[in-house]
Amino acid sequence: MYLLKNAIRNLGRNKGRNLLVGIITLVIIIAVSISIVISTTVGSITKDYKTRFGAEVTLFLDTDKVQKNGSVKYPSAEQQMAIARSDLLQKTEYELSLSAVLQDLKALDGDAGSNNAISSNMGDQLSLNAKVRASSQPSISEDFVSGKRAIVGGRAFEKTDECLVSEQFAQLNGLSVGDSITVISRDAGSPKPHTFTICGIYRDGIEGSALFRHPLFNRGNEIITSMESMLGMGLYAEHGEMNATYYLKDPKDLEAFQQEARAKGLPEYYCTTTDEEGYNRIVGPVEGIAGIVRIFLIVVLVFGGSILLFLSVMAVRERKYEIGVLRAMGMKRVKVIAGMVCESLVIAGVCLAVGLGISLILSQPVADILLEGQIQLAEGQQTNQSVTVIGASSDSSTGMLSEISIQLTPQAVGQIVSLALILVLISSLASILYITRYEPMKILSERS
Amino acid sequence: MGILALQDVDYRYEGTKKNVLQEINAEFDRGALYGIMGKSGAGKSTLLSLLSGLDLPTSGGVAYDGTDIRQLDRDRYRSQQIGVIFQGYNLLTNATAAENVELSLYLSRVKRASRKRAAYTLLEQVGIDRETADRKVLKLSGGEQQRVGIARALSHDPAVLIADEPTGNLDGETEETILRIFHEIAHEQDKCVILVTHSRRVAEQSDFVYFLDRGRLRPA
Repeated sequence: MYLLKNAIRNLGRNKGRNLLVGIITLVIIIAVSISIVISTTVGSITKDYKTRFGAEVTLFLDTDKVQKNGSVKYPSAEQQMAIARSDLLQKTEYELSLSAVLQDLKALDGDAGSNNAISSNMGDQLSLNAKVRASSQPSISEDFVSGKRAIVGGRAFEKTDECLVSEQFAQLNGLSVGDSITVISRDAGSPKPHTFTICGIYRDGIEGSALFRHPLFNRGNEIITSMESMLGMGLYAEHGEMNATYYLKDPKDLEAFQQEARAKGLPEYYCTTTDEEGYNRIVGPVEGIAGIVRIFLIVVLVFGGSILLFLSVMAVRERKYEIGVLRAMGMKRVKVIAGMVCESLVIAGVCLAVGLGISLILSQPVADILLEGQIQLAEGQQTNQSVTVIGASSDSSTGMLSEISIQLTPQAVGQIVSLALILVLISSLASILYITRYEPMKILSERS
Repeated sequence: MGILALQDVDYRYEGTKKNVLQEINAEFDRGALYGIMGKSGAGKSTLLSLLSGLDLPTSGGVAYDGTDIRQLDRDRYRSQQIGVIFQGYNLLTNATAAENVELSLYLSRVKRASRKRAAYTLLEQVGIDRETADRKVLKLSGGEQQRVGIARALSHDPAVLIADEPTGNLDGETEETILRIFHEIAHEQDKCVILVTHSRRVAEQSDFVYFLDRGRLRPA
């Protein structure tokens, strides 16, 4: 307590010098705080963006390689799931589908195609009139998330072989929750029946096309079940399709991911691509700011630290006599150093409190100006190139992040306080070295 | 053995071969005022730095109360066991008289609550009133600064008080006053007071006088 009181008293005794040190420290802390606040905000925005959107990988057919190869085989479900087991991926979403034949049930738009087990032009092949769908999404599917579909009776599936059917389908066939439905293969000789229990009924907000009517294209004929149920169907194993959508943690890992996928059996005629251009367009300006403030932070710390060190050396030379007296009186080196460090801490503490407040006010306008500059730069560099890929699903109409809301997070405060302490250490360094080197008699005899 | 003793002390500066002090033997007891005389450059300040533990002899030993000061914590020795009054006072010039004494009380671990009061009391004992005690040291006269130095040195009630040229810059009247204070400290407070001086007049007022000549100490 005495050290702190004495430190404050000493600061008051050398007002001019300490005011100068205080101003320089304040400027450094303001500059550092603004940089860190912007940097941490940008970091959390890009992290959030990567978390939410990732970098979607699309598989596309390389037509040249297809011609060389002759035949095309889509990666099997096992291959796609094996490819998904990668540290480079943030997540993988699966969409499974199976075209099947309803057993003893009618399909919507059934008059537009065969409704019963009658021979078609394909011999003993039955007409497909239903689609079984499954998704890895916990929310059943994107349609339920977006509100295009909603459960109006019963519940979502919880157990294996439970399913949802549409309201229209249920009405057509007089079905209700708890009833069973069976689907079979189109191969009459090997039907491989699979039975589901209806656990819920959904309403579909999208009307089917009036121009092209067929049971397979009527959404009302979709039977929705869990991915687990689907993978357990013998019918699926033979006739099912899986589409995996991979999301990289970082679009820069695309090449490495493709190599991994090849090693796991991805055919040569399939290539991977991401909408890196779209990702960079959206996030690029924001990441650009992070780069600028990082450089600015380093420059401020180097220059500011050097100036503080210089002032500290000057201050210690000025206080050489005082140090000699304190040591001659019997004050231990550690206490003398502690006293001087205390003075630096008081200055840093005051500057931190004031600096944080000022930086909070200034950070937002600074960030807005920087972002505007980066956006203008990015817009000037945008090309007209486009890449057409099969299955490309990135939304090229998504605009770039055009505003950022600066926040002072606990992480940012922690970093600013740590840097302030480093500044204290730098400004105390000269005194620490001096005090440990010189003996009091030498100092006092020089004065004499 | 006295409270402070020098035993076969030799001293030379680092990197030199010539001893500035050689074969110094002396004992100093409580309740007495000692004068160590010598011309300028005789080695008086060097001797004082050895007695106060600011430096160590090249050979031989300085013993405080029977213990070689090499075996003591010398910072603690200076802050709690002896009091030193330096030539030129060596006060903290941007602090008040009271703050200078308070600092010494802090070093000798006096409790915070009583420090300020104790500082004023000590200064009053050497003739510095409260108003003067609250003035910055630079605004005090030479005599007043010397008294502040004495009060600071006495703040932890040391058994030994060592003063280097205590009256060097003072006029005759002030010199008398200061010497009277030292006499009281030695005889009434039963302390060992050692005055290092080139003034014969100061030496004559001492109970015992030593001469320091060409590095050797001999009683007068």
